[in-house]
Amino acid sequence: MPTRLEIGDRAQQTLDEAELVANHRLVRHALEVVRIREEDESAHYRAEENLLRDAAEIAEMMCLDLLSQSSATDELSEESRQACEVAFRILRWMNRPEDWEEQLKHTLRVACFGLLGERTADTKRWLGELGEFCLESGDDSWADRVFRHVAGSFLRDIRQQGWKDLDHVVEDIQSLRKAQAEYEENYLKSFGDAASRAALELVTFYHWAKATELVSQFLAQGTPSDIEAQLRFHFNRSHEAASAGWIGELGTLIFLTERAALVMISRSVWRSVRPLGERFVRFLEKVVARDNLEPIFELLPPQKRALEMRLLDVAQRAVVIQMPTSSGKTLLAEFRILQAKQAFADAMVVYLVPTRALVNQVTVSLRRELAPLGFNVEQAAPAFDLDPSEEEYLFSPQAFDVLVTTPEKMDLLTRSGRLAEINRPLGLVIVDEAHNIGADARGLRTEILLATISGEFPDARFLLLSPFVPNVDELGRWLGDNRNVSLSIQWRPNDKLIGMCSPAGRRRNWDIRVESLFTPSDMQNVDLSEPTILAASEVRSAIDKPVSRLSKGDISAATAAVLARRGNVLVMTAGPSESHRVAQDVSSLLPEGNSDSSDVDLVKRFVSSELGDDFLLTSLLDRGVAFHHAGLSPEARVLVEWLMEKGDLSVLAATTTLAQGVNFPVASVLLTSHTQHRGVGIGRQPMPIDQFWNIAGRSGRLDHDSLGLALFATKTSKDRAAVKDYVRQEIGALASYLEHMVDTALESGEQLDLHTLVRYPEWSTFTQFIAHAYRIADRPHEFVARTEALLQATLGYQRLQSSRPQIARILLDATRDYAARIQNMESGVLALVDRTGFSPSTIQTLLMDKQALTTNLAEWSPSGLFGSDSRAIRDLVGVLLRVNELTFSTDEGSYGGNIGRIIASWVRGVSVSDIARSYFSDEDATKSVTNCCRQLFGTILPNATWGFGALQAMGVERDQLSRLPLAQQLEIRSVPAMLFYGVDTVDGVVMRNLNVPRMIARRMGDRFGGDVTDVKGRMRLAKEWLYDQPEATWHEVTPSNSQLSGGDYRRIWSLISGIE
Amino acid sequence: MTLTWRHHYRTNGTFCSTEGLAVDSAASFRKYLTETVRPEWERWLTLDPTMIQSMDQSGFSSAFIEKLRQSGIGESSDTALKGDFGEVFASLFLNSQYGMDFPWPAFWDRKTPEASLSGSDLVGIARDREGALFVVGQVKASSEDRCPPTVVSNRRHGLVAQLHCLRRDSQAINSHLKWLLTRAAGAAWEQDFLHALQRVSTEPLDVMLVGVLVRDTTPSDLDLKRAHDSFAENKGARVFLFGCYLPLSLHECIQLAGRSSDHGSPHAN
Repeated sequence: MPTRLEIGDRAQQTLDEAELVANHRLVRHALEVVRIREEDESAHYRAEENLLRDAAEIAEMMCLDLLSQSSATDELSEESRQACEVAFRILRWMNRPEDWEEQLKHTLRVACFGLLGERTADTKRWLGELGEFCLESGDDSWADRVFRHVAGSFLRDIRQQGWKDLDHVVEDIQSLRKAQAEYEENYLKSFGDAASRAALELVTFYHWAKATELVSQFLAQGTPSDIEAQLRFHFNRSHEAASAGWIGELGTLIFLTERAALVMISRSVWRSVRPLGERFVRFLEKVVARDNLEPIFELLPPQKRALEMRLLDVAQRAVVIQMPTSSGKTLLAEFRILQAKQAFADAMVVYLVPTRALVNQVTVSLRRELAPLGFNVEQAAPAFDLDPSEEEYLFSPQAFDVLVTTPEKMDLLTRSGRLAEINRPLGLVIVDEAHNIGADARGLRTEILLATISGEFPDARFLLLSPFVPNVDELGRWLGDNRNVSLSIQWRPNDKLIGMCSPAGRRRNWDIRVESLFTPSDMQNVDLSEPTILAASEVRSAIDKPVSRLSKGDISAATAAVLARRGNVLVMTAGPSESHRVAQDVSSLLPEGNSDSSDVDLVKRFVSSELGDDFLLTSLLDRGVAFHHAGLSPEARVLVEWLMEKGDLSVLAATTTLAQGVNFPVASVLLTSHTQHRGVGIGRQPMPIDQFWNIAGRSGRLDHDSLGLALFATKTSKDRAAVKDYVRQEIGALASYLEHMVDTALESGEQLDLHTLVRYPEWSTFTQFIAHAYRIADRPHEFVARTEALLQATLGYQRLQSSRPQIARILLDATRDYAARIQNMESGVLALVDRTGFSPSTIQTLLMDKQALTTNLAEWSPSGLFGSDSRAIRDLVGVLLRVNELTFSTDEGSYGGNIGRIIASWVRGVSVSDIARSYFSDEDATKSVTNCCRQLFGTILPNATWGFGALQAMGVERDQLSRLPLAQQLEIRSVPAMLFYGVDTVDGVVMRNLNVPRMIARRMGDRFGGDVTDVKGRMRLAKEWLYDQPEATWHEVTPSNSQLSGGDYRRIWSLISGIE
Repeated sequence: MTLTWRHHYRTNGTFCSTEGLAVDSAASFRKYLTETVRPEWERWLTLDPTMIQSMDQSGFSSAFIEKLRQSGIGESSDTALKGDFGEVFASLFLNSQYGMDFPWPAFWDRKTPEASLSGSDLVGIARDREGALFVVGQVKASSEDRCPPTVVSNRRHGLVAQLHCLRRDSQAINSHLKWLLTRAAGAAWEQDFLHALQRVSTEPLDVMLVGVLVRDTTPSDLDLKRAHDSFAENKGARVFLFGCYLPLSLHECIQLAGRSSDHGSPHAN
């Protein structure tokens, strides 16, 4: 439905130029505190204003034309939506009229266009910045007063700042009704002959007031159920009155507000979700409850679109959603969860996230929303093993409704058969950040896990979420088997400026120049025709260098310090060392006492006690600056993220470790480079473009920032050219890592012989997939013949078949060869493959080397393993170093020979700073702790936990173990978890599993052991016990020389657990 | 009924044309006022009873407005009445003599009850060789003896100043057009309106400007001569100026065309 207006070249040019002006004003507004020139009344500025005014007339006319071509109850056409968005972008940056009435009308127009143009978040924030709408004046006539209150109330309906706004609407309209009798008569009498029209104007207002009140009531309570009919009635009456009186401008406003009101109703949670059933209604009651600090009355436009596009169609097996960051994917996931539970009350839902940090965050978030409905949301620790208490807890009847975990842990649960043993339907598997499927070997594991679940749980549904997967259809078809919905939703939560910054000026008088970059059109970058200059006067004296001698580090630090004044800045660096440098440089540019929050102090003391007083992070925190990378302990990372999210940090220098670990936005992102270290022997490579967009997507806090900034720091023209080329790249289709593996093997001249390739961890994963499928096959003798059906379950094979069938054939032949080999293997080997996560070849090799396996139960006891004589542990580590699947990389330092001692120290409770001093010694304490954390948490513990669990599974006979007293059994079976958590008691493991900080976990475990002796249901008992403990207990278990009090530890526990 | 008009003066130019016309017959003019002007004026100002009754459903009381509808209230200034009469009369004159349509009455603005919105008293549809185009009208009524009367020559609010303003600022009528755009669907005037809208959105000057001076004095070309000259030399939207000379005083016209006292007309006595 095109516009019926003739938009000639001249009008189009006016619109284009006005959009550029609007972009500049947006950027100037967003950077207000740091702009170099004051807004002036120059001729140039006035010309800009005239241009905006002309463009606004054209844009408004187009909107009204398009909107008037359909009825108020029709869905908005895409053309209407786009036209309204253009009108919003232009009108928003016009100077608001000074006259109050004109100002209110202008505000109404902007807000309505914003709402209709799906710029909801921007509109609400903009209205929030305006503050109070209808301050009365003593000169007000009755009509003035009514108009002020009704218009202001309607704006409150749009703004929806919690219950406060909606309550205000009802109170305001009620007070007008009470005042009518007192003021109306005299007002109308004053009009003489024009009283009829003045009366008609009042009639217009009164019906509009009622409609406004109804909108507020419906948003809050979902009543009346015939809201659309009632709104149409009152808006029609309002319209008729305006028409009868020929009160043109008011009539146009009524027309717009009617459209806006109906859109609000259609997006309200009640209208969208209530028809879905009783569980959904209960969910909504919690979502909008008065005690909810951030009630949701209205769905975001992409959420509504997802519902309209059959997100909840029960017939669909797979739903794949591509939606930008911050557009509300979590709520959609919650809807799918409710639907799964509605279909089968005892259904299990599994939520897969890529990192440990996200396991925590997502658990907390889901628990907050779903626990009030009686849903039990649990998390499985992201270790490649199940400790006995966790196992007992998770697999007790009805232990969880929703389980949040990583793909690796889920893989273990699935292949070990534990999930199937629960004997409850697997209703739904949600995969967050689904684009990771194609990223690396971990992605392959996820792909294969989904393929396995798809085969073994035919009733399971899938929901895949990602901000960028261009080929959603392909992904949907893969898992949905023609029962799929693929949603690719373009939406802009706020404006974003993707640009680059560089110094501009002469000698020592320089500032920061910001230029926008050309990006693929679907990324919707704010385009600036000319650079904007950020004043750097407050930082250049501290840097004290002429422009020619500024390093890229100086430029990054200066820009970060300047941007920090508008909100928190995330500086993405190429590695830990650079993050330290940048953080130090920025901190020297920020004022002392930049952060005096007691929470910052708490984190500082925690970091200090865990990583040492001389660890750089402790001194940086005083200035509101921190760094974040793999060289921190997981708890320290969580606490730093928490400070950043709550706005206590001005600048966080991080590596891409953070990108996958957080789901909170920041005001600005600064990238020191578009390249990053990709490992030893690879060096610096451009960051994958989807990773960049993932990071850039975090810029701009929905509630705070009209503009998200993502800037590259550049120094030379070569830098700038490289960055320009880099951001022009389109995000490629999501490919399977399996395709990459096949290509790499064939390109290197190797035959695609899986028996040989299995030495690579990723091929090991693939062979385990085949081995598992064979082990559970109904008709093993037909397995080879059915290999292709098995491969069809993978995305990689499906894609190869459709794009390169000859390569698919090679993969099929290789898989058949391997399947034939598997048929000759003992069933015990295949069972161990599933229990250990090692390939059949690795299992066979280990089984042949009897000495490698510790079968003596005494040697598995924690006291034996982790005691002062570390021979036993060294022997076990020696075996693990030969296992292909485990990657004890030693690219940083030569700790290789000390892995056993490091593990023993860790389990015995030695602090990280002491382990660093002993095994990662460096002149620079920060560097040694960083290296220690990277190796300990990134390599040693995950691999050792996995490896010890595997060796135990292979070496210890279950019968033999079961003859031991229960307490001893638990001790032995808890050994891998002791490694993971760094404690040497079973109850210590339980406490760590419940997020008690390691420094006090053992003592807390002992305390629990003293109070509760029941062995059965230990995890559940521990959880209940821990939640009940007064602060005194925390004091009791805190070491006397600790920098933290018992109360501090309790707080940290509650933070990490997401209780606070 | 139609009136017979006699030309007294006429000047044609590229950018401006001016005509002075008079009605000679007072009797037929009286009839015209009561039979044609009066119903039109009432149509502009009547409150619909059902509209008032349904007002109660908004939660606000309709009591006083209903009383107003039934009995009428207040006094009205002479100037306002002349203005209203002039606008109603001019729209009928332009329709009957030049085929211009004014399907909607003059727009109203509470803040300036004695003047219509945005400096234009009438917005309607005229036709030329290319079809329908918008006509924007400015109307003044005066009994003043001097030629031209102040309502024409006043530097800020006079007819000439306002027409120049409209000629400079093509967006002055936009708020009317926006409103009409939202009401056009299904209206009898929809096609003409959309055609005119396309013309003005392609070329903002593609509108017709009309100035109407309603007089109860002897016809004189001096009333509009200077006005004509000021438009004749300047490019812009084409301007048509009309002097309408009535055989009755404006006061009498208002009395005859105004609403009857049983409807509460403030100017019936």
